[in-house]
Amino acid sequence: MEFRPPSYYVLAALVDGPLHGYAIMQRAATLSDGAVRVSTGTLYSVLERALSEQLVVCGDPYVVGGRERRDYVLTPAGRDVLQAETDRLARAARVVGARLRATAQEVI
Amino acid sequence: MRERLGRLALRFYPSSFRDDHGGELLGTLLEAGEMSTAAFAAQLISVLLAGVAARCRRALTQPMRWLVLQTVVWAAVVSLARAFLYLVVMQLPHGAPESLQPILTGYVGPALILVLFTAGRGRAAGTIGLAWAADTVLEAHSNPTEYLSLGLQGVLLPALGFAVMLYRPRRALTGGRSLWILPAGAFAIWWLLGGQAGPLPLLLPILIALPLSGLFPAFALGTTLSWSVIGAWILIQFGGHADHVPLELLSTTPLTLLIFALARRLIDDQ
Repeated sequence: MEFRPPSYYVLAALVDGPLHGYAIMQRAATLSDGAVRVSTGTLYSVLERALSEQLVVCGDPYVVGGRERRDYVLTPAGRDVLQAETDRLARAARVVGARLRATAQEVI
Repeated sequence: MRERLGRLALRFYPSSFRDDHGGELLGTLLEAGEMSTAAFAAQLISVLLAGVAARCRRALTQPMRWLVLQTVVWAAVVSLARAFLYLVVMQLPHGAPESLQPILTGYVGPALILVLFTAGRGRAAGTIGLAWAADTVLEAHSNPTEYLSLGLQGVLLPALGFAVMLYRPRRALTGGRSLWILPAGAFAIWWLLGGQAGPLPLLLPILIALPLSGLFPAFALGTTLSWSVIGAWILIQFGGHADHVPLELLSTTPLTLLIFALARRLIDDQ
């Protein structure tokens, strides 16, 4: 699964526990400080892909306020993939951050 | 009203996705678009686009073997429809044939095959199609002038497609089975309006089919294959004197294959 920002934050939204579709969208926006707003169409594309790759599983549908919902849960495999991607991003940030700091003094 | 629009947008998804996630997607859409009409419109558009993308992904990632079978079937159907509609608009206004044989071969047989194919009756369409092809070959044999070469290029490809329909009807039939009307109809309308032979009537059906490569790849490939066969036939018949753009027609199949490969790559990368 390729991690574009929406995919990353959708999976990240499930780290703390199961959430239904709209709650995932809200949580993704919160985690990214509002930088990533996942639309309904994108959310279900990401979830369908994650389901097929067994990164998440979904529970049975239930109804709240006349609207159908279904909770999604991050699997251990999904958690591993998310951890690997987080490490990769952190490594990249460390390397680039170090280079920026080193060259900042040269520029001044 | 919003729920109705949401249900309409859901129709863009493949039916299996709708069955599994349609209800909850609708619930999420309504919840996410609750704040304002603009927010709902934006969410609705995202659902429409994602639905089309899901359909494209499904069509483009099906096993290559099925795609080849479906392409041959579409090439057969489009070839038959083109010949049938050409007869209807160009010959029927001058009067129906007097004997029964050309009526059966030219009109009744093709019409029946097209109706059965559109209705999803692949095995029946394949059986009648093969009988039609055999009859056309026999007819050509008894009249072996120009008709032989015309008949063979118009019969061999359809016969192959009908054989596939007969032996693998489930794999051979795809969605959008009434799409044959688009390329064949465009070709027929051009002639009906008094158009002359030239690049446009031959290339127009392909220009109609190409944009559907993502949603209906076998249809687009089958249509271009059907027209490429015409290009090959023109090239063989007229050689360097041909003014009916045979090379352009021949190049449409590789072009569609290239578009298909690029679209498949794009889907894989997402």
